[in-house]
Formats: sequence, C-alpha cells, structure tokens
Amino acid sequence: MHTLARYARIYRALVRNCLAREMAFRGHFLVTALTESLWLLFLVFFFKILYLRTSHIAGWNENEMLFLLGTHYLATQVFEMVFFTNCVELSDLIRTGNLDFVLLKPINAQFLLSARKISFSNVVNVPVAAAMLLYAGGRLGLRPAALDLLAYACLVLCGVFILYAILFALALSAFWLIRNQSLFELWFPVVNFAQYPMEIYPAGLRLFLLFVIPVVAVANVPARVFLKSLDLSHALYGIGWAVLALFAGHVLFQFALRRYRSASS
Amino acid sequence: MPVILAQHLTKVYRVYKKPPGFLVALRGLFRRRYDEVRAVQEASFSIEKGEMVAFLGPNGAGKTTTLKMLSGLITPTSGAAEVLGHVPWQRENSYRRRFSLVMGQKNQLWWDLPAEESFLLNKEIYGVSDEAYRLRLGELTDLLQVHGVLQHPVRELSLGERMKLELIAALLHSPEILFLDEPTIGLDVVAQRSIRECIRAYNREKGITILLTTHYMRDVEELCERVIVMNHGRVMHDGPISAILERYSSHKRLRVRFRTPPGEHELAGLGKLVRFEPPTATLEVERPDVPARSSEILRRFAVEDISIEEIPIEEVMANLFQGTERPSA
Repeated sequence: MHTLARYARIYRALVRNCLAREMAFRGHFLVTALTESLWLLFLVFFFKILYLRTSHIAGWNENEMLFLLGTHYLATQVFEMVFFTNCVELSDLIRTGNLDFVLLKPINAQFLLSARKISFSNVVNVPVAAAMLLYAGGRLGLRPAALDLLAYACLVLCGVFILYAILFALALSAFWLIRNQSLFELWFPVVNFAQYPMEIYPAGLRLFLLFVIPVVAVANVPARVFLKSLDLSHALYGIGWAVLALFAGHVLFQFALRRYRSASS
Repeated sequence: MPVILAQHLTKVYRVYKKPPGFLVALRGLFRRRYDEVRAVQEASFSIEKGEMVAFLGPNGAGKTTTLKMLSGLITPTSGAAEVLGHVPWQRENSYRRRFSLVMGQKNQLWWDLPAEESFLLNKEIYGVSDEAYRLRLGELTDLLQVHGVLQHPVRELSLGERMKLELIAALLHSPEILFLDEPTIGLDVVAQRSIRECIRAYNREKGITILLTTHYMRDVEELCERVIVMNHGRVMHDGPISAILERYSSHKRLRVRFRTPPGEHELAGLGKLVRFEPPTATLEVERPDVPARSSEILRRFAVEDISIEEIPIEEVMANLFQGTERPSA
C-alpha cells in the first residue's frame, strides 16, 4: 500500500510537469486535438456512406458500429495520452544514453520509462469519444446499470494495457536496432484492425487478431458489455490478455535491459 | 572498511567496425566486422568513506566506463565491485537511493521547465520528506548561489547555471556517494571555480565520498588529494598527486635570469635548454643533479635570480599519456 501511494505521488508529479510543459506549447495542443478529431469525423462519414447502402454489416447496425468506433477511439486516445510518446521515445533515450537517468533512479525502471511523458493534447479527445458514445448509446436506447459501466471501464482499461504491451514490445527492439522508428509505421495499420467488428474478418485473420496480436480485445470486448452480449469468457479473455501482455512486456524488458551499454559520456 | 571496492574490473565492448565508403557500408548490412574494445582492464582500487578521488586520463581512458560500472549502469565483462555493500549492477533500490551520478554532458533536468519542477519530481522518487527537502534546497541554493534562476526554464540558463542545478538535483536526497563525470567540462573559468568550491565545501561539510573524472588538472589540484590515473583502460597510478611528479617526472626546471646573458653554447652541458630568451634561460636538470648544477651556474655566471621548479603537471601527464615518460633529451 505504501509503495502504491509512493508511485501515485510520483505519477502526480509527472502529470504536473507534463501539464506545465504542454501549456507552454499551446499551438501543438490545439493541432493534435483538431487532427485526431478530424480523423474520427472522416471515419464516421465513411460508415455513414456505407450504411446508406446496407442496414447491417456482419450483423452490426449503424449505431452499434458508431458505439464500437467510439469505444475504440476512447481506448486509443487514453493509450496515446499515457503511453504512446514514451514508447516511441525509448529509442532516443537509448541512442543518447539518457536512459541512464531512468536506470539510476530507485524506482521501477519500466514504470518511469512508460510514464514519464503524458501527452495532454489527447485529453480533449476523451470528451469527444464520450460524446460519440452517448450519441450512439442514446440512439440504441441503452440504459446502463452501474455494474455495466464498471465492467466497461475495466475492459477499456484492459484494452489500453494490451495496446501498451504491444507497442512497448515493438519499442524494446531499439535495444538491438538503436533506431527503430520505421517499425512504428506498422503500428497504426495494426491498431486499425481493432476498430471494426471482429465478425467482418475471415476466420484465419480473426484467429490471428484474437490470439496472436490480440487487438480485438481493445474495442470489441468492452463494446460487448452494451451490445450483443458479454459473457464471462469474453471478459476473462480481455482481462487475461491484459495480464499476459503486461507480464510478457515486463519479461522482455528485463531481457532487453541486459543489452544496454549506455552511450559514451 | 572501504565504501568502494573494485577488483579486476574489466569491460570489453564489441564495436561495429565501419571503414569509410558507400560499398563498404552496403556490405556492412550483411556481414559486419566487430572490434573488441577493452574499455577498462583489470582496474582495482578501494576508496574510503569521505574521500575525494579523481580519475584522470585522456579521452577513452576508461574513466567514464568505470563510473558507469560503479553506478550500476553497465555490467562488467569480468571482475567484481562492491559499493556501500551492494553489487552496483544489481541495481537494487536500496543501493540507488544512496548515490548520485552527475554527467557534465547530459542533463536530467526537464528542459522546458524550471529546475524546481525537476527537483520536486526527484523529491517524490527518492521519497524525501517536505521538511528535509526545504532544508536541503535552501542549503544548496545558498552554497551554489542560484537563488535567481530556480524559476526559469532550464533551456534559458547558461551552462554554468545548469550544471549547478544538476548538482542540486543530484544532492537533494543526500547521497552518501557522488559520482561526477566531467562536472566542469565546457564551463568558463569562473563557473569552474564556483563548481569546485561547492564540491569541496559539500565534501567537507557532509563527509560525502566523491569520485570525479576530469581532463582538467586544475580540478584535481584543487579538489583531490588522491588521483587514479587511467590510460587505455588501465590504472597507471593511484596515490597522491605529488607522487605522480616524483614517479613520472625525473627532472626539475631551473629558471635563471642573468645579469649579463651568456652565449647559448656556454649553457650546453648544464642541462637541457628548453627556452632561451636572454636574459632568461630555462634548463631541465635531472633531480639528483639539481644542487650541483645550480651552484655551478651561480659560480660561473653573474646571476640576478634563480628558481627551481617542478615541471608543470599538465606536461608530465601529457608525456605520460603519450606512452613516453618524457621526450628524450
């Protein structure tokens, strides 16, 4: 408990510093908020057009689809706010040797590494996602109970951790490659698989997205709390993957750290 | 009971060898050749609590690599070390709370923020109480004279100011050992002096053990009684700085001012004439011959002034690092 409180205090200090820095660059703040929202808007339009031709796609109607997109948007925005920059910047830390400062601190290195930069420009997008969920949910006539909301939040969180573990694993390749920016190009196409209903994928691909790179757990699983039906196996699947992915990330990090040689003075 | 004990520390790096040229670079994509670089070889030393020791040596001597092993950033290829009873590269939190590493060429302070924000973050990371934090910050800002700049973004500070704030960030948790990697590099003379004074004062007041690496003789002369000289990864000398002169400097310098300058040929045979700007001449003479030669000069010439000096330690070191004790006379 003591440890948890200590880490919470450290995180609070990080949040404060990141906020102060972000405020110093307001232009960047606005641009990020705008581009991300526009991207969502295009996606919504795209589906509006598709649903002019058909009422269901793989058993999903328009409002359900919007709800799924909203869920995906929520998970990815929270993820980008908390973890994205940290993963991408790992290679810089290694190349410049500034990882030294992380390793010198009497604190879990993976925590400090993964939490040091919080990207507040993504914060604005969380209410955008919420608005979209409320709109789609309202049209679906959802009347969520408190427990549903709790399960939903918990599973979205699991999705965030799964995204983190996948990107973190990619980022760790920097210990071998030093420069690995081009690997991150892979990231967005992969993540985009997560925003569609898993029913649209052919069986082979679906299995891949369920059990190899489990991005299906990011949006499909939490959205099921309100749409279709969520049974225990779905919930266990989402939670199980989150735990497994975090554990794998931790092991991989310990392994990668042995490669570190610190850049010259 | 030493606080730092290193035994046969050795670090070998494998470095990708890349000769110049595009085709060679292309081949390097497929088959790489590696060189083994022996950054540190069989370094052994022990350091007592409260000591201030300098690692001195040219670039690539292995000073920084040694510090990095002692602070646990890298694991040695072979050999052992114990610092404050811990094996550094196991990186236990209980060890990491007890030392600090400051690197003159890297900064841990948040670039876009006032230094105080970074201090507060370190306060939480090291679990320093509010009271201790206020007390130490007050002490350190007094000592380093940086009251005015705590609220300015770090990127707008001078290098000297930034270095002082880096020191504060490293000392807030009151470490027992401070590793300083080239703390005065790139600083102007005034800033160098002020950093040195702070380090010395802090060492005296708190009895903190300090290990520093440097290229600058002034750092060593003013701060450390003991110096570990490294070259090509090996410890070449470990002891008081005066012992370096005794050991590596076999000569002394006689500086003579003549009332009536003799011809250059007349001075031949008295020693190696390193400079002759009448009426002054500087001669290098082997240590045991110094008394005899001085009296000979005083007897043979009309001398206005004579002084016997050590060869400046910079020159001794430069010769030492070139692999020769001194150029042959």
